[in-house]
Amino acid sequence: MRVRAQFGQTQWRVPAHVYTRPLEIHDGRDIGRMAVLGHLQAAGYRRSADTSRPGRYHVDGDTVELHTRPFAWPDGEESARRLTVRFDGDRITRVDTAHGRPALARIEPERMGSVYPGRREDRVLVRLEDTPPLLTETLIAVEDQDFHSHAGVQPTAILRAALANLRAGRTVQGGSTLTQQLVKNFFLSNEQTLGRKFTEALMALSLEWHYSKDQILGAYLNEIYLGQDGERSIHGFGLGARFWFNRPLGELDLPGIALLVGMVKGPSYYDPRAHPERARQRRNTVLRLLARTDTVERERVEAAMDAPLGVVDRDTVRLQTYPAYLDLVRRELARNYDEADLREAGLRIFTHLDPVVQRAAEQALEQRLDQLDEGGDRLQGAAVVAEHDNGAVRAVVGDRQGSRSGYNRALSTNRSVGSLIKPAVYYTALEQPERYTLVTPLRDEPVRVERTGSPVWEPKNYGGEFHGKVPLIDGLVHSYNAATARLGMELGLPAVGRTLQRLRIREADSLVPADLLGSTSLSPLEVTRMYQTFAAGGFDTPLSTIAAVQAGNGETLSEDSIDVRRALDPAPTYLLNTAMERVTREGTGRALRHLLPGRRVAGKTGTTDDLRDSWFAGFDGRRVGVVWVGRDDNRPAGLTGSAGALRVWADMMGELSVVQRRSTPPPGIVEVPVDPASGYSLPDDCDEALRLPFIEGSVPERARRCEPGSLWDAGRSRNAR
Amino acid sequence: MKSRVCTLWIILLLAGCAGTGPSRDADDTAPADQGPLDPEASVRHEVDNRAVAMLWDQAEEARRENRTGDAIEALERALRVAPEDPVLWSRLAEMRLREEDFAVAENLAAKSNALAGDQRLLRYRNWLLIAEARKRRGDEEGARKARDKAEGLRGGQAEGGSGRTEGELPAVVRQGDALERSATVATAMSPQVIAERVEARGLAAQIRERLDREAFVVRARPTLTSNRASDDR
Repeated sequence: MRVRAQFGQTQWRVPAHVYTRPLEIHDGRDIGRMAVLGHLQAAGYRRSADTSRPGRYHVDGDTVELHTRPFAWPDGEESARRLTVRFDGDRITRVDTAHGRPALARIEPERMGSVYPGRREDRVLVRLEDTPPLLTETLIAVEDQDFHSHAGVQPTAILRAALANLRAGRTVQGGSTLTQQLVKNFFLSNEQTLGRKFTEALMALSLEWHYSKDQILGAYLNEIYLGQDGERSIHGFGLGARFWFNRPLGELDLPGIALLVGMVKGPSYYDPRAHPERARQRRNTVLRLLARTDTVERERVEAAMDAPLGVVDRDTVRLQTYPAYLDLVRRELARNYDEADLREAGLRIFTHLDPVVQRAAEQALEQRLDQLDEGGDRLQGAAVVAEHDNGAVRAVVGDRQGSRSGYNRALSTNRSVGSLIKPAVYYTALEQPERYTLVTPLRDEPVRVERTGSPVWEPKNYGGEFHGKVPLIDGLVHSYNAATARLGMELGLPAVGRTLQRLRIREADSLVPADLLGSTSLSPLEVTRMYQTFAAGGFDTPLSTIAAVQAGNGETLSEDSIDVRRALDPAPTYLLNTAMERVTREGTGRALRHLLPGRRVAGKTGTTDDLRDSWFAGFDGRRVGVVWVGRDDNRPAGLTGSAGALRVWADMMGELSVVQRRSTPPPGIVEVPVDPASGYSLPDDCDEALRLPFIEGSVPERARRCEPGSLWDAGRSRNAR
Repeated sequence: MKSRVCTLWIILLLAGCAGTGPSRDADDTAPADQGPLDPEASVRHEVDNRAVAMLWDQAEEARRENRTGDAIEALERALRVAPEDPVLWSRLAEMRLREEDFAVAENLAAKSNALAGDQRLLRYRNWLLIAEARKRRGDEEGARKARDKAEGLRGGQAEGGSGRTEGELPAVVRQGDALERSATVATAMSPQVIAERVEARGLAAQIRERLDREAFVVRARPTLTSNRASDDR
């Protein structure tokens, strides 16, 4: 039998639900009270002095009492718990359970837009046994009072409806049992003919013959249509409760249940957002019926009739789409999952997206570009933020307007990276401590490279002047082109190429001299990968957006695991990062000194010919962030890395809590006071001497006094550059 | 006597964050202030975060019960809270080794080393883990090099000196629960050699000697040309 075959193997068509990261709550977590409260509100937690039930919280100054909801995480079930969370500024200081024990908790994540948007059914599956009995009782009282006794159809009801329709000359009554409604939703089109009614009745009878009342009711609860959200149709009471009240079904109260059940009759006609009065009347009709049938006591009904509708604002439940981030999620999913499964198999995809970071990145880009563009809209930009020790991508912005989908510059724009490439050159040098240290003199002087078959290469400095002999660290800190080009040619293109290969940027033997100054084109995402390795002390870890994927039945299909690869040697990477930290203090990125006061960060600016591209890549103790600003038509944007991308980066990082760059050097590093201008190390007691790290065995010769003569040329003072 | 004190700190290294709560508040500058000669600073594993301590406990329990997957999960979660904690990375390396993910284990141990600063015992242990990973992957030569690195950190046979005798061991064990824990930890955590070697030698004296000598070398050799002495490959 057709009905049986179809119903028996009913696999609910549930599109993959995509979630942001859960909110982790524990001692020392770098998130402030406002951000936590914002998350709780978005997740539908209710503020209430009584926190005896899950889904509620209470605020008392810097302390938040919180009753979490149970949640089936990919790594196991976490039960509901009552917690006391204490804040201090933008940190959580302590999280304790009701018994005063330390706790580590996760608040359910925000659901975001679909990986495959378009016209589709959406639902949150519920099991009959998890459904509040009041809901099923109300449903039966309103829609089908004889549900438990009839055989699937009620001829009298059909007859009554048919007569009414005949009299009216059109369809005015349904008279369908819950079973018939289910059949209609399941198998049949929407035409309302007598023939269809007949088929429907037959199928309903068949359904009743083969399945229990509970199975039919369970199916009904998940199938029924309860509203429309743009292209997305809201099916089932699980999603209905979320969409209209922003609550799990189990937390619905009597007025809420009455309203939802009342809406079954016509979700758009009784839409409580569009027609609140009509919806209220419908709800109260249902409530009165409940009193009349003794389903609920009269006093409770009366109280419920006076209750507000309790429907949340549409914006509260609008799924944020984060289109640029979803692009990356989709790419990652496509490697392991079928599109069909993603559309219908009810997978739950937990991503690493952090809405706090994402919002900071979106706002920083939009606001800075508005400002830099002076009312125009020629500038575009992109940003990527990831955690460098574990590779979790926290934010991706692919357009000046973060919510706009379409061309995703974070992934698809490949632009010359300019000076962003220089750290690879300096790393290559610092990996040879017997030849190079941070104070090794470089010559920032005119350079000319002639190679057969290619045009003569004569790089100039930004600003046009040359600086003579400079310590190696200054070549990077001030981004001197000539010094870097000379250093690169001295090291040899293959050596620099090997470093780039270890960074998975390009093949070792493919370099031309111009690559030393960043003629290489990369996307912001690729640059993030490169700087992730620097930020993590030389350890490369795959960037990932997906924390875990769960099947519809709760089984964990895949889980992100920390994987690191030693791509660069930690000791020279440490020296390089020291130089990049100085970039942000006194070099091309020194604007950060006042834009992000008191923050220890490191990074590098990048500017390409004619100011076409403005780049900044940088990191603090936890995050690596890359920003690109330029024009889609690749015409000059008129911005250096420091005037454009760096500002966006600073705004973005400034919104996030402080994670200072760590300072534990890897083994084999010694820090000594030095005079970079002379290249001498200094006696320990010199005032205001700069301390720089050296790889053991490469510490320079020590001067006898604090003011040594120069090793290179006598006349040069420390400040001459 | 020195050796006994040191044994206690080794235990703190091996079992140090076993959930007794924070040893003190976070303070990034303190370790540097203690200077390189303080053997306590070089082996102590500080947990300033109760969440990390809890996860560590979970991981340890899972490890002891051979639920390696659960141990990995707890350690990774702890690392998302405290990514700069070298002991967590080291333990994760060990768990990956147990799962025979040799390349991953080696890289994780290297990561631990990079973060370990002057915690020589931890680095010693990491090099032994690396040696084991390489050996079991069939890289005998690489394994030998890693063992040499480990030996270098231990101070070498010649400097052994005032080794503690077997007879002293019970005195240490009597110090209670923490030590009992450590005994399990030490034998189960890695190649058994670690425990044996750590137990069998007067490490405090060695570490001091070694560090003194090194400090001397660094100060007394102000030259541009010399061999590189990084302890990584």
